[in-house]
Amino acid sequence: MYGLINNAMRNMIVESYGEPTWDEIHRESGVIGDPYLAVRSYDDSVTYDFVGAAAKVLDTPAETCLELFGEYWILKAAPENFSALLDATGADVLEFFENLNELHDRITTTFVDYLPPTFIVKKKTNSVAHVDYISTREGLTPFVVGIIRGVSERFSTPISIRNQKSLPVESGEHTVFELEVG
Amino acid sequence: MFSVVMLMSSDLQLMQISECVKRHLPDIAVGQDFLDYFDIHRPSGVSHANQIRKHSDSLYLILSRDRTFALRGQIVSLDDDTLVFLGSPWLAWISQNRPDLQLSVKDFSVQDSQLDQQFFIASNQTMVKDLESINTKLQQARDLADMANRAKTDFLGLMSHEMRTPLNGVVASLTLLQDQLIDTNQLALIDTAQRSSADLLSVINYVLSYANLELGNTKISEAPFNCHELLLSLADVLRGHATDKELNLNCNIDSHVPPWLTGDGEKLTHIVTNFITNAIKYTDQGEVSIHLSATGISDNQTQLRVDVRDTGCGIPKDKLDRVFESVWASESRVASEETSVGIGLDICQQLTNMLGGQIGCDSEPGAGCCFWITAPFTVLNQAPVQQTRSLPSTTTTDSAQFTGRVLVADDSHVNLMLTEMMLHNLGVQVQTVSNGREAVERIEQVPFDLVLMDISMPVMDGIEATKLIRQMTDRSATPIVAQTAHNLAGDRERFLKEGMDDFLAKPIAKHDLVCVLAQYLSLSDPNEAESADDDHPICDQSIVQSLCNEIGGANLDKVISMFEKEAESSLPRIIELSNKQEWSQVAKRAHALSSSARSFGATRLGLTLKKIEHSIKSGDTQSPPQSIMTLHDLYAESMTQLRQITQVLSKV
Repeated sequence: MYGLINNAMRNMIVESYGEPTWDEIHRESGVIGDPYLAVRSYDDSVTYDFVGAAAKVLDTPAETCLELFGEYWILKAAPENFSALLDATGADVLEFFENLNELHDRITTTFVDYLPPTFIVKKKTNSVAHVDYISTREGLTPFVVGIIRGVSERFSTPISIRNQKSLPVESGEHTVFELEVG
Repeated sequence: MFSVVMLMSSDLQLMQISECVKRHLPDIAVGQDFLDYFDIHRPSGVSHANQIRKHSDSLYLILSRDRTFALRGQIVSLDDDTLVFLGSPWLAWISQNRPDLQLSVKDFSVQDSQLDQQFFIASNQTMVKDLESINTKLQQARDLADMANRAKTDFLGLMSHEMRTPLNGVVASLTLLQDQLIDTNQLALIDTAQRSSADLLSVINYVLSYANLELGNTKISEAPFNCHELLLSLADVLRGHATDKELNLNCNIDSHVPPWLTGDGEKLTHIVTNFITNAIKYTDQGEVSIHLSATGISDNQTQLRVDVRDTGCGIPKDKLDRVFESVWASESRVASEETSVGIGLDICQQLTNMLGGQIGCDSEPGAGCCFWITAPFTVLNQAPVQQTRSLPSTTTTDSAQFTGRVLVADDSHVNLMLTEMMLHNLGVQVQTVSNGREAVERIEQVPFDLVLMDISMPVMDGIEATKLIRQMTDRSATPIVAQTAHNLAGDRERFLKEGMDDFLAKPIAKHDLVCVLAQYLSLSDPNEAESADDDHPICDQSIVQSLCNEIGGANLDKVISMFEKEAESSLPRIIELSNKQEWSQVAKRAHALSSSARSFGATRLGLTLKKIEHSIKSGDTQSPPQSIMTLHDLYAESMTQLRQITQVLSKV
C-alpha cells in the first residue's frame, strides 16, 4: 500500500493519542524504517502490522481500529490529499459510491502500483441499495464500514447498514452491504 | 469519448448541446450564437466563423461570457455546413477561477487526463511536504547529536580537569612528603604511592584519549615539521628517564631521510613517545635504540619509518598479536609484569590508521622488542620560512639556560610531559594545566614570565583564555605564545590579533623553544654561578618589590610562606643526599630550589644552589659539600631579610 495510507494512520493516532503512542505502536509493530512517503509503495504487511500493533497498544479490537481509520480516511486524510478529486466523485451518498471505481481509476494513473477494491452499487429502492465491496486483500471490510460512516457524515445523510454479508471467494474478500440511505 | 459536444451550423448557431454543458450553463440553448455565448481565449484573434475553420488543428480554450465556466477542446468541420466542438471542462481555469463549482468525474470522459493530472500534482506537492518534514527532522536530529557530542567533549574536558587536579595534588603531596621523611621504609612506601599515582594518571589519560578518539574529536592536521629534530628532541627529553634506570638511549637517523616534511607531526610524536616510554619502562638493563629511516623517497613523498628497539624481556608469541588491541577488547588483562606492554598501544594503532600508516611489533621472549611505525608524509624541499628562528649569538641550543616561571597549557598529556621536560632541562620553573580555564585560574593566583598556550582545548580554548588573561594582566607582564599545530597561512596573524605575542609550531622543536625563551626570559649566565657569592646581595629588594607590585602584599606573604615550606623540606634532603653522595638527586633538588629562591629575591642562596648544581653536572663532586654546609645559614639570613623587606613594603 502507498505511504499515504500509513501516514494517514499515523496522523490519526497522533491527533487522538499523541506522538509517544504512535512511537510505541511503531515499535510494537516491528516495522523497520519510516514507511510514510506518500507516493512510495510499501508492502501491505507494513500496514497490517501497524493495525495489529495499534490494536495491542490501544487495547482495542483490530476491527474497531480499522473502522475508525475508515472514517478518518474519508473525513480528513482524503480531503487533505486530493480534495478536488474527492469532491468530483459525487454530490450525494449513492453517487459517491457509484463513482468510487472511477475515482480509483484516476488515482491509479499516478499510483501505478495501486490495487484498489471494486464497488458495485445496485439500487433496490429509492432509499435502499446493495453495495458490493470486492477486494484482492483480506480483512479490510471493517475499514469499508468506517468509510460508510464517514461518507454519511460527509454528506450529512444518515446511512444504516441493514445487512452485511461475506461471500465465499477463493482469495481476497467480497462483502455485500445493504444500505438504507436517508 | 468527449463529455462536451456542441454541434453548430456553419454560421455558428448552436444545434446540439451535451448534458455536461447544460448542467453547468443552464441558460444555454439551441439556436443561440456560439460566439454570443462564448469568448475564444485561444487561439488568439479568432472571432469569425471563417477563422474558426482555419484552426481545426488548434486547441480551443473558450470561456463563457459570464465567466462562470470554461471549456477546452477542438472545433472540427463535419461537413461544409456543420461544425462541432469536442472537448471537456477546462479544469485548470475552473479550479483557479471557480473553486466553488462542483464538478463530477462524469464531467470528464474516461480518457480525459485532467483529473489525473490534478491528482498527480497534488501527490507531488504532498511528496515535497513529506521530504521537507523529513529534512527538518534530520536537521533537528543532527543538531541534537552535535549538542550531545559537544556535551560529551565538554564533559571529557571537565572530567580531565576534575580527575587530574586532585591526582596532581596527590603527586605533589607525595613529593613533599618524600622530602620530609628519612626513614627508609617510609620512603619505600611513598615511592610505591608515587608510582601508583603516576600509573593512575596514565590510565586516566588513556581513557580520555580513547574517548576523544571514539567521539571523533581527534583530527588529522597538516603542518610542516622537522622529523630529525623531532626524534632528537624526544631522545633528548626522555634520556633522563633512561639514565635513571642506567639504560643507554641511542638515536640514529639515516642520512637520506629528508628532514622537512608535511603531515601530522604531533601524532607521530605521540606514537613514538609511547614506544620509547614503554621501552624504558619494561627494560631493566641494556639499551633503547631509536632508528629513523625512509623508503620510497620521491620529489614529494616518502614513507617514514621509526623503529624503537629495547633489550627488555620481550613479549610471548601468543600475546604479540594482541598487543595493539584495546583494553576493552582483551578477554582478560592480568596486571602482571608479563602482560605489561603498556596501555596506549591501541591508541597508537588508531593514530597510525589516521596517518594512513602501519604499526607493528617484532619480539622474541628474552630478546627484547622492536615497535615500529611506517607512515606516508609529503616531503618539503626546504624549511618553511616561518620555521626559521635565530638565537642570540652568545647562545646555542645545547647550552642555553634560562630563569623564569613558565605556564604550559595543553590538553594533551604527552605534549605537556614533553614540553615540561624540555623546559626543566632549559632551567625554567614549569607549571602545567590542561585547558584554558585552568590557565586563567592559575594566572590569577601566580604570576608567570611566559605562557605557552595550546589553541584547541576543551572547556575553554586558548584564544578565549588569552582574551581573559589580557583583561587581567598587562601584555608585557605576561607574554603568551601560541603552541599549536595550526600552521596554515594566516594562522600566525590570527593568533597575534587575538592577543598572543608569538607562535610555536607543534611538534615543538628545541631550537624554536629556545629562541622563544630567549625572547621573553632571562638567560642564566653560566658564569654567574662561578662568581663570588659575596658579590651578590643576600636578598634583592627590587625583585621582592616587583613581586609585591604584581600580586599584592597579602599574596606576597602567602607565596613567601610557600617558599619557606619548600626550602625547609628541600634543604635537609639536599644535605642527606649529599651525605649519601647521590649527586644527581642533589643537582636536581638544588636546581629546583635555586629557581624558586631567585624568583623570590633570595639571590645569594639561589646562586649558591646554582653553583652546586653546575659543579655536580660538570663532574665536580668535591666542592659541593662545602657549599652545602653554608646553605642553612644562608637560608636563615635570606628569610630574615625577606621578612624585613616584606614588612617594609606592606607599610607602604
